Amino acid sequence: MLRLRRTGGNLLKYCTKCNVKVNTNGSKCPLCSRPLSQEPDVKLDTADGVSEPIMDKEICPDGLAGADAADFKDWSRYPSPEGGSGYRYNFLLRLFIFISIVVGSTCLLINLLTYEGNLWSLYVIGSLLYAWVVIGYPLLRKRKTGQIIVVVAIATSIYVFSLELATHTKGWGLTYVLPFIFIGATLVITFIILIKRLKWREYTVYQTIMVILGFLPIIFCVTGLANPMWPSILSAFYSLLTLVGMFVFVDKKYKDELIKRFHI
Amino acid sequence: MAFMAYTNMNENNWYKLDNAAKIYPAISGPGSSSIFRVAALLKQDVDPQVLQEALALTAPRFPALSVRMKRGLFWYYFEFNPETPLVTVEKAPPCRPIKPDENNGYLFRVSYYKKRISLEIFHALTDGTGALIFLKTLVSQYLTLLGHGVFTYAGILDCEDYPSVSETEDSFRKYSGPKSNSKWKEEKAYHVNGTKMPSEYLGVVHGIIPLNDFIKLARESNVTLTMYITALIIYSIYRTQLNNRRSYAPVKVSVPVNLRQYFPSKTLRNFSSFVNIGMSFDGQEYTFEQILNTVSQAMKSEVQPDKLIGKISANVNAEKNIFMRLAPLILKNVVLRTAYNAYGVSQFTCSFSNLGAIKLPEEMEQYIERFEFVLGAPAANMINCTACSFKDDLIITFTKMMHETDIEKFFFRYLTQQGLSVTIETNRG
Repeated sequence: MLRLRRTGGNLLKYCTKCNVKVNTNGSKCPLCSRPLSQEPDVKLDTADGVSEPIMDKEICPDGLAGADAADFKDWSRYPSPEGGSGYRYNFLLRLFIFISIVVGSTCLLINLLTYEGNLWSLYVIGSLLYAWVVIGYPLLRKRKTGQIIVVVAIATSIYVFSLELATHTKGWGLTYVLPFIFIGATLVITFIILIKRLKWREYTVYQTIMVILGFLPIIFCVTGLANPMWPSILSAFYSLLTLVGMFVFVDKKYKDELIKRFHI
Repeated sequence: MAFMAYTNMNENNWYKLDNAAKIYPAISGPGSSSIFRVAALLKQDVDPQVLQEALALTAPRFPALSVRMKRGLFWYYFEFNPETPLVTVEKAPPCRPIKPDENNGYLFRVSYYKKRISLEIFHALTDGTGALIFLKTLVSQYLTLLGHGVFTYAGILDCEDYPSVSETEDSFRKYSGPKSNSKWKEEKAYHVNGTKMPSEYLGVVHGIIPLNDFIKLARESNVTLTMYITALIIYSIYRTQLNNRRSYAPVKVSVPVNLRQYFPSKTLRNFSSFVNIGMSFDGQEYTFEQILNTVSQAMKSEVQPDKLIGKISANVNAEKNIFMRLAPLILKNVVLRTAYNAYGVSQFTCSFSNLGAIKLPEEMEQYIERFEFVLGAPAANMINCTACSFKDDLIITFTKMMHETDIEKFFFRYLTQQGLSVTIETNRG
């Protein structure tokens, strides 16, 4: 019995070298790159189901005889690959990085060449790093507000602490600035939770981190790094109140949220 | 801890990642997406609006897949995703990494191109079996919305039903035992050489072969399809890459094993293991029959329920280790990545995954031309292979990161020499 095998109204192309039919818009065999011919259109349905292919004329470059354009197009099953890879060249970012490197290294060089016992260039480099964290962190990628608050609070604390160390003006940073940064950040997150009630889950994590940080100044007090003690005690007290508040107002949900984030 | 009425979700709608899933977030990156695709080729062009509607109806039936991934301090976890997943038109090569903001945080991508509906899914969510059930249910919903009837059997879930607990269970934990008789360390495998494509491309070569002819061919040698194809992959690599020479390491194919065949699990999450089947070449000339013999022997001895249980138990016990649990996520990722590079990817030359015969309700078959199964970027291994069959067609698909076509050329030419008719389709022109 003779059987005519057709696809989409057209005959498939054929590679005589690989003995395979090819479903393509192209004119070359994807396996061996030789030119394709038209499929041997008549197949003998023999007992073993296989017959020697009958070779046929080469395909004319502008398509198949008798095939209309619409059918012809339909043969490609995949979109043609797009050139772009999603890789973007951010000139402005690279410019700022380069300017930072130039400024930082120039200051360091001048400082070292005219060294008189004062490493002032470290202030410049430290400030540049701090600026990169505070400005770069929120801008370079999409970040959550809570994330930004926590990172900026921590970065500012470290910056203030280093300034204090570098200038030998002992005490002001650890005693006053740090506790108030923590109180401020906790307060801001509390307000966000009150305003965006639907998103409270997300912010509880940042709130928890800030509450834990809020107890940190107490350690400075005990070790004598911070003196007078009242700002540190205030920070710890405020953290404690926030913690109690979270348990009072969202109790079980808050606990569940913590289990979720901190399960081991 | 209490559970929700009809899922395994913890209170507050979240899951732990299952045992197999835990590795994927750690090892995934631009070069290795850990994403695979199952796709259905319909007989008519896809209507995107109807598909979107079908997806919105289907997704809630699969709570195990309708999640987004979050970072905890110690582990990743899946959280219920209240948004609607979106249908997109296929533009890029298959199995591109899914960005978190691309599909409302979903870890799968449903796309269409002409007649094809594709589901690309992050392996951490589920394996081939789970993904196929999702795709079949989605396609059946799509056809139902077009007024072609209602289909709710043969592996298609009824979207009006509640999800059942068994569908979201972590079967690894359920079926693993205290005894882990498995060794992770195996001999390193041969790795193929080739010219690497840019990482954003992925070469796909489908070979469509009459199923019954292939079964007849495999029966002549008294082996299964999986054994035959695995052996032919090894033979192709041996002939094209080694040119009959001695190899510094055995050519090994990693073959995933669906554990649902051996354990009564109905989970739609991951539940598969794998075996590495291979052969060393010492410089003597080997025939295909010799390789086929070695492969079928190895498979028969390796694919045994007790051996597989030992393997998954080893992994589950490692996950339960208290030091592993207490390590912060950042550290865990480093450990997992290192372990995977040392004991995972270096131990096989390529993988071959056989999804098997895909069944549909009889009335639904007429609307579907065929199914396709594509593995994502094979990272260090350059080439991967899959197979699945639907009705009379077997589709063998090579996914590759290299320009050269030697391996698949040899593979398909060998099959045509055995008298099989092969139709080739690729995504390159």
